[in-house]
Amino acid sequence: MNSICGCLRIVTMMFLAAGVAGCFRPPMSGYVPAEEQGLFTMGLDDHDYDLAAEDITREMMTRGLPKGYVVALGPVDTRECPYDVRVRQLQKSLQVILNKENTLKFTAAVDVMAAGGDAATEIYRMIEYNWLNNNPVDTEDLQKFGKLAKLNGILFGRVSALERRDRGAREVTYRFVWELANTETGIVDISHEYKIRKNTRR
Amino acid sequence: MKHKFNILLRVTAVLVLIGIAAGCRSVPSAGITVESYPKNSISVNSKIMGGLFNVTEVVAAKENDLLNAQVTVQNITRRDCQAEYRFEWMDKNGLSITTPMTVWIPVNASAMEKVRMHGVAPNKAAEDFSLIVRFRRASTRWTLRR
Repeated sequence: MNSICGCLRIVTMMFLAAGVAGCFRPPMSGYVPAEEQGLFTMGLDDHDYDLAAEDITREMMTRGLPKGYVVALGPVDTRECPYDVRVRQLQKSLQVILNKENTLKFTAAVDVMAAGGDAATEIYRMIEYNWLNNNPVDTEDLQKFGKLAKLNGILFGRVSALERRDRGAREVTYRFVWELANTETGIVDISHEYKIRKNTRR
Repeated sequence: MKHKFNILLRVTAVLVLIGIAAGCRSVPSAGITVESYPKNSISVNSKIMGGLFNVTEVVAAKENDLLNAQVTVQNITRRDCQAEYRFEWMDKNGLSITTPMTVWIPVNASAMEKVRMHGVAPNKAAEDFSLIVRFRRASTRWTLRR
C-alpha cells in the first residue's frame, strides 16, 4: 500500500514538473518567420530561391558595376533540371534586391522587348536560341539589342540538377550558372556559379 | 525488498526530472551574435553553441561604397557541425535596413575547421552590421499541432 502511495506521489511530481515546463513556453501562432528554412523538400523551395537570388546579387554588388547599369534577365535554361524552376519568381526576387540597392537597375527581358518593339523581339529570340543551344552569343546581336532596349547587360542563366541515389539515400545538386554579358562590348562581365546540395535518407 | 524498490523508483524519477529539465534548457536560442558597433562585440547566447564555436576574426571594409563584412568562426570540437548565419544591416542611426538579402545561409564546419561568413551590405546607407550564428534548424518547430 505504501509503495503504491509512493509511486503515485512520484508520478504526480513528474506530471507537475512536465506541466510547469509546459507553462514556461510562450503562446504559439501559425505565423512563422519567412526567412527561415521551412519544411524541407528535395525540390527547389522558397528558401532555395532566396539563397540563389541573394548569392548572385551579392556577386554583382561585390564586382561593383557602374551606377545606373541596367540589367535584364535574359533566357534561363532549365531543361537540365527535372524539377520545376520558377524563373519569374527568381527574376522578381533579383529585381527587388537590386531596386533596394539603388545602383543597379533590373528589368525582365519580356518587359524590355515591349519597350524595344518588333526588331528587339526578333534579336532577343536569336540571342535566346543561341543560349539554349549552347552556341556562342553573337556580339553584334547583343550590341543591337542593348541599343534598342537601352540596356547595359543581359544576365543569362542555366539551372541544372543532378540526382544520385545510394542505399536509401537521395541527393540532389542544383547548379545555378549566371553570365552577365555586356551589351556594349559583348564581353562577359560576370560569370558565376552557385550550388545547392540537398540530401535525405529514408 | 520493497524499500529498495522504492529507492530505485525515486532515483529513476529524479533522473527523469533532470532529463526534462535538461530538455527545457536546450531551447533554441540566437547562438552567437557578433555586432560591429560601437566596437566589435560578441555575445554568446547559447552555452552549447559557445562551446562549439569560437569567433576568431571580424573584418569590415567598404568596397565600391558598400560595407563588406567577414566573420571567421572556428569549430573548436572534434566533430562536424551544421550551423546557419544571417547578417542584419543598420544605417548610421542604427535603424535596420529591410532587405531580402538577410536570409539564413547554411554552413557546415568540419572538426576544427575555420569558416568564413561573408556578407555585403544591401546598399550604401549601411554603416553597421550584426551577425547571428545558430544551429541549423527548420522553422517546423513553430508548426502548430492540430
